[in-house]
Amino acid sequence: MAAAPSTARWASRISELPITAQGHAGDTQPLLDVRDLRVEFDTGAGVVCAVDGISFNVAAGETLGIVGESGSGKSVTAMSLVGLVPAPPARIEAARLSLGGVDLLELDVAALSRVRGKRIGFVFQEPLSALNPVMTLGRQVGEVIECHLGGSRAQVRQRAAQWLGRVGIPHPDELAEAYPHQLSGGMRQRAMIAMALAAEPELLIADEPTTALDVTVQAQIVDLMRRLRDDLGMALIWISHDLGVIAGLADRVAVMRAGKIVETASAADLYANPEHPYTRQLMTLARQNALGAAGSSTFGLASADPGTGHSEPRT
Amino acid sequence: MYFPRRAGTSWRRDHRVVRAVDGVSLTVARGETLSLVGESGCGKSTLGRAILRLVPATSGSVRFDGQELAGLGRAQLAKLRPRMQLVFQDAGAALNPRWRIGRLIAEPLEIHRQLAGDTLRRKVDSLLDTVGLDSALGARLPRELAGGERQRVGIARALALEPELLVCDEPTSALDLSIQAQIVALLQDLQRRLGLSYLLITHDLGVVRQISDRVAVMYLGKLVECAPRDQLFGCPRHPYTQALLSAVPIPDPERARQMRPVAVGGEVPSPSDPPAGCNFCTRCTFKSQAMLERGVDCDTLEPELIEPTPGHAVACHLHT
Repeated sequence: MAAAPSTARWASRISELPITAQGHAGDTQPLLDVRDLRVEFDTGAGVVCAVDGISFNVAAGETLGIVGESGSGKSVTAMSLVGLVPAPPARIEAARLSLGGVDLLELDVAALSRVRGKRIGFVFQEPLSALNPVMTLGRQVGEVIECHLGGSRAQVRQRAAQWLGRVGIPHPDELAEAYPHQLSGGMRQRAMIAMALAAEPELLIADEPTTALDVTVQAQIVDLMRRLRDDLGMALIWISHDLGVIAGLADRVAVMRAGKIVETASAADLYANPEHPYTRQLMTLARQNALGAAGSSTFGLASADPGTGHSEPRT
Repeated sequence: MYFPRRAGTSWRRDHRVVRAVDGVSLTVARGETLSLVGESGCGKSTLGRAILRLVPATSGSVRFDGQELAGLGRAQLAKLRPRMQLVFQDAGAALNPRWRIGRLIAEPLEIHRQLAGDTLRRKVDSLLDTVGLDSALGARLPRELAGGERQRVGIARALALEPELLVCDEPTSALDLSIQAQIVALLQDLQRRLGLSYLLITHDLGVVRQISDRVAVMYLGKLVECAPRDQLFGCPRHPYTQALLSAVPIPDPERARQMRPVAVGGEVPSPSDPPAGCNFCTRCTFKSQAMLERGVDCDTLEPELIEPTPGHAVACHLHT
């Protein structure tokens, strides 16, 4: 691979990581192993390389955050893992693309659709366009259960309602009869999480799942995801442009730019000591933005004294 | 001084009324930046539009430089319009896709200043230069520009008539972080050079912290808190403002893990069916405490906007 010298240097950080993270062949096998993934699109004006030979892996139960600005190729990466990038016009190549030892590139359509939903769940950014507008929530969640787990109609319906309750939708039995347009953005995103998790996949890919949400609702969804991930022990790929959101979730973070991974490191390492200039720049901007906004967020809600409220303003 | 006051805008829907903006009063001083923050649907954009009379207010008064806008006719309003301009969130949608950049920026100058020929061309070039764009871009179409460049064109167009008040409605929300920072820097620079007043409408508290002099927080159509920037961020008084600030994700895994799980539960109620008392009472963590201690029923009694300390207004029973 003709990698720029700088890439090689940053990539070398990967080898310092524990074996579960790097996944040496023969040792603990990673759940998802991606080597030299390349996605190109044939456009009228020539070939666009959206993902340019990236490699990463995710161990069982591990959370990988993928950060990048728009157009960096993070969504295309995620979608190409589960065959959601239409080819043609795309050309998807990889030295290796395996989930628990199964080569995803070799699978035919039928086999791949048994993997999608069952072994890999997917949460999209915009629930209103990802959910079926003319199907009730209960049926959409139930469809996943029916396809991958089976069961009688009553069982399916009951399990679907259970899942809606588990993701924090109030009155799940009633709201199972509701249509997506009747719910708020946050509730729709919860419903999509229920769909993605209903077959209890080993890996959940969440592509900017909170970007369309307000900040207080985003905090709720991040908290929910953290809880469900720990309960189910699943691996998670969380894609975001926001280093702040990733910080609260990821064990390891990959930073993408222009179709390449420029830096990978454990979350603690990356935030404490970003090495790549681009990561450093992103981090500075994110700190300015978020720490500025939440500079005083250390105050506990309960400790705010309604009587005086004269604490020193922080700058 | 501008005195926008008590704007109320409502949309009728099967004979029930949705109060998008309900009894909001605020002022923007000359050369000042007032940020209007709140989550989607809180009425901040509607308020901005009502102030510019792009939507008619149901009742209330908006005064610009001492002049009442509410009763003005078309012709009189057209005379004032150049002095107050709007920058839109999505410049891609706000700019005519079939017009070249030069023509887009020239249009207000042709209409209001009757410029033409070389004078017009020079003015357009100088405006492009003001917002940090090469004058060669004047020959391009909006779709040929990057998002940040398009937003600069939107700003250039708004500046063409040398306005005094610029209402910026989520000017950076559609942009990447690095581009956001550039646009914020541009807005600050323009304010210094041209003495502009800004009404900045945004949900992005990071931008607010960087650019504002004062901050007004809206929730469900009402103003819940309004204070100088450092006071609002350092010592927020309204439970909603506190929740909003603490919900901002921090790019630091250590702090993120230590943080309390969720500052505020629930979601914003429907504006067509707001709570009877305090708008925030369905989600407020202080509600029962306040009721017990003071015998105040947040569920039925609406708090008024008061100023416990001068310049820092809050609408919450905790502070009455």
